Amino acid sequence: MEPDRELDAWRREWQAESPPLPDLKARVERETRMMRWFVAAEILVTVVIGGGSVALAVLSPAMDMVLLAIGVWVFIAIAWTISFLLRRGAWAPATATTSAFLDLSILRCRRRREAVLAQAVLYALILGFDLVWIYFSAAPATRHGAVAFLTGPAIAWIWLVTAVLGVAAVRYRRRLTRELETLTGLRQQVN
Amino acid sequence: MGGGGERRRLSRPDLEEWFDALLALHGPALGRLASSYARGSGDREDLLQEIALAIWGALPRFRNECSERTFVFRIAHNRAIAHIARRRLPLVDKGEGLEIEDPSPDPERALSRDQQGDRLAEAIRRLPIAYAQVVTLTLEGLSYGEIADVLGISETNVGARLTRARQRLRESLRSPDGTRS
Repeated sequence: MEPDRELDAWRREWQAESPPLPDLKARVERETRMMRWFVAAEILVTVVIGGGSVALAVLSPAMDMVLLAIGVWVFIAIAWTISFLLRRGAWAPATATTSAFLDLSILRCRRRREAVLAQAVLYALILGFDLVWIYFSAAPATRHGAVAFLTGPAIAWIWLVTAVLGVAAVRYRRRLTRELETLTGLRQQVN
Repeated sequence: MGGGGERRRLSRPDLEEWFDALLALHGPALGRLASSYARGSGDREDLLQEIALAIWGALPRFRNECSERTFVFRIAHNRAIAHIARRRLPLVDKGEGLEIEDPSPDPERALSRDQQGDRLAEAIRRLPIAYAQVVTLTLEGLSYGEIADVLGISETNVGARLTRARQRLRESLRSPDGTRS
């Protein structure tokens, strides 16, 4: 068989390049630790908020506290269910072939876009519940009407946070749309 | 370490030893592969980290359905593709396939473009992804069968892509500024 001189020359040239490698093992260990911390933080938030609301309801078993505990656990259940539904079948094995990996990446990207919408709806529901709860759990003498409550300085920071989160969500969704376009383009190409 | 088709659960020290061995063996190739996808050294290191993390995560599930080399390169190419998609670079159609358009040329790359070795890397970077994948794997010494296994395409397809990629590389390397005429 004839030697392929051109390819051999390119191969020598290519393999002569040996860019320095960072300490990958240390980076992997650091990243793995961080991922564990994130999982622990998610569980911790669930336990603190969910457990805290139950503890409050047990310690002062007034109707509003019981309602708060029920509301918190309903929202935790909805959040975990949404998370489960969106992740179902979208786990992308790193060792899949390029085409299969791209298919799953596209699916994951679509799910992440749907998740942004689902999380926005969930946020609105939680916010609505919390505002109603705060309003009605205040002493009747301190209530000056729903409009005054919603436009008052005590609630202003909630609207500010909501606006910031809204802008971030829109930007994130746009980024995902662009990522989806790139992935779809790559998928067409590697067929 | 990973050979023999065994399904036993490896201990963490065993996995670490295996991981070290894989990085020692394939590290230079992974570095070159990352360079062919990344913009600048920071981007390259980020991509290498993603690849290493994915290899580490997939290692316990490696069942010898393919060679270790195929396993490593599949992960590397998949992570590289995901990395490109996240970098938000638009795809442009230049006739023979979609290419990643880089709107902000990296000064680091521009500086070293004149160096002979980098001209080849630069020309490969300009190829459409489907061609660049086949070329980089070929230059790493993988056979048609192994490349087909990494990318999930037929060996005939590997040959066809390589022929077209080589034609484009030749044109690119002949032109003084490294672009196709």
